[in-house]
Amino acid sequence: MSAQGKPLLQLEHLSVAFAARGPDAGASRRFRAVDDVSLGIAPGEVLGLVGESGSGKTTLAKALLRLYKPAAGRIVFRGADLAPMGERALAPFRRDLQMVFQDPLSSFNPRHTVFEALAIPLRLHRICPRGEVSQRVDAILARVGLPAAFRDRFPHELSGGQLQRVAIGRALTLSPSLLVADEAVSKLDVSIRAQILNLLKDVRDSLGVSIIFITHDLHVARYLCDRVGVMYFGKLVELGTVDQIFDAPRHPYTRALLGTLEDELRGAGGPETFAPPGATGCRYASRCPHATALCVGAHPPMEAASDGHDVACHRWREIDFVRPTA
Amino acid sequence: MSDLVLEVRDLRTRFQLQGRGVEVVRGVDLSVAPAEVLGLIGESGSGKTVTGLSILRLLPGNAEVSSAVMRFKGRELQDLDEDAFQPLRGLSLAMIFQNPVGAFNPAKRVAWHLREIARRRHGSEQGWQAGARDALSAVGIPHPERVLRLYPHQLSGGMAQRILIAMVLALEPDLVIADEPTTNLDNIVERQIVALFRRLRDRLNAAFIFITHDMQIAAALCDRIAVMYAGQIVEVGPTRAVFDAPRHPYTQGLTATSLALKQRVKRLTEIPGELPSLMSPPPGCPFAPRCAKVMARCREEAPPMFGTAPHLARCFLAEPA
Repeated sequence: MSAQGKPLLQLEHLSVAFAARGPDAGASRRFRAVDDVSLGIAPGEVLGLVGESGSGKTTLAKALLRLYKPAAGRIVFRGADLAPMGERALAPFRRDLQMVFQDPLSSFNPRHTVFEALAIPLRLHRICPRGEVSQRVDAILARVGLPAAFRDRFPHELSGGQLQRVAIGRALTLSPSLLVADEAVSKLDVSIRAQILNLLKDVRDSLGVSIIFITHDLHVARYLCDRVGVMYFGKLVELGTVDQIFDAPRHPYTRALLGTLEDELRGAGGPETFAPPGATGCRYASRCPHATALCVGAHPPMEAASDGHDVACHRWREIDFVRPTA
Repeated sequence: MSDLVLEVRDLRTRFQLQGRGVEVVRGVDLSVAPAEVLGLIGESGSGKTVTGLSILRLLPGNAEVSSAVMRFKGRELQDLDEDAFQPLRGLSLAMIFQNPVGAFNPAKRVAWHLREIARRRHGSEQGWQAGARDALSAVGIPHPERVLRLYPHQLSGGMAQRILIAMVLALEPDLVIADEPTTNLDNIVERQIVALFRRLRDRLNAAFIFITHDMQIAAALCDRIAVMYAGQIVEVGPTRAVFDAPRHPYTQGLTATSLALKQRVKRLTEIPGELPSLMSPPPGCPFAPRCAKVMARCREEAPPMFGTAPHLARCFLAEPA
């Protein structure tokens, strides 16, 4: 389901910049949190974005939902470019693009009941006649596996897992075609995580909604996603199907991410760096065991390593990529 | 048994909340030997952290802690008043917290913190620089002189956690309680810190209690595992035994999920339901409402620990026939 067919949403050379602050920043420096990222997501596809915190995963997602204004590039959705649009022009697209956040408690109004949280988007977007709102809310609760009695509860009365179900339900009230789930299970307990992952899987299977799933947990990405993009300091460094990424990773950073504790004990993990490396050259060069002068001098372009498998590394052809089986 | 660093029997911790007593730690037994890492695993709210804070007496005033035994290197800690206990804290019993940056004084450089540690350990600052450089090198900090000049906010999470570990180890404690020390860190850095703990375990003679909810980390680092659920230890045993042949259905559920994620199954098996509220814990086994193997007896009677040492489980299914 990767490259075939028309993508639902296509990012072309998207960049997001913030004003740099702090003692090291010059007067007019801009920091590119997302730097020249291109990727597409197909209808009904679950695309994972993995990488360390600060790698730009969340910024990328917020930019494509136009919660941030990109500095450059295009966001092509339903034949339109969302990137330059103002609020008024974006309004009709908003209901189609929804988000579920990491911390469920802070994404609800503490003074609204579950019913109000779910009814407000229905009313605001006139999804159904007023008389049907109540029925709709019950249907949403049933879909996310909660009893109808929960409609009168307040957010603080629910556990993290139950709230995350409501958050997913709220995102689905508007029948979006794309759902961004930002670390949606990382704050949940181990025994609850499986419930929410299965719920997201069901939602995709029954509604055909595309999901961009941001996570730092590679096992979770492997379970839920069809394709995975690996980000490092604002750059997309590798993109492929879960099998390509997990069984035959090409980029040295992806391989470090997939490494084991045993690799670490052998000292194969590479040192931790102080600050983001400079904007020229491969951002991973300072930590990469394979780096050469070329890597420091110029950023590697994204190249197709195989069908649907892209990697941004000058040396991907030379590096033995087969991972020893665990 | 006398060579245990810490032995705790029937630890109970209650909080006064809205005029009611809520028991959060409900009869925990644990022990840890020199150079041993005991993994305390469980979900948030299961009582792991409160157990650690109870041992170090770091809980707020609305907490009541009691235990039958709280023996540290042969000494009963309950006999000590706060004045007698305070010198032990840090120097003998130390804790590493989840949020490393929060453990630093934000207005002071790293050097100031290590100087304080030297003063605490040796009673003087003399020669602290050499000790600080050694401590930082031991935890894999590449340029100690440079790092000593930094303020806490200039450190990455992994760097801050390494320095904190260096500070704790410079105190040469006999017991280190590490509470989710890698949870806020990224994947690669997390593995580096776990590898660091493993090297330190091999080098030092300290006892470690490693609190985590991450099964993989626990499996990689710990010698023994204690699984907590609703304020009780529901299973304890050698790491391999607990993960390869779990006896409590809750542990079985946890290991199944983490194994299934690795093997890329079509669908994860869920543990249905939620953690019970400790405001009104269910009678009988606290896991009974979620348990796939529940029997009538489980809902009425709280199971004791069954099995033969060292592998025990708080479940009637582990009862010898």
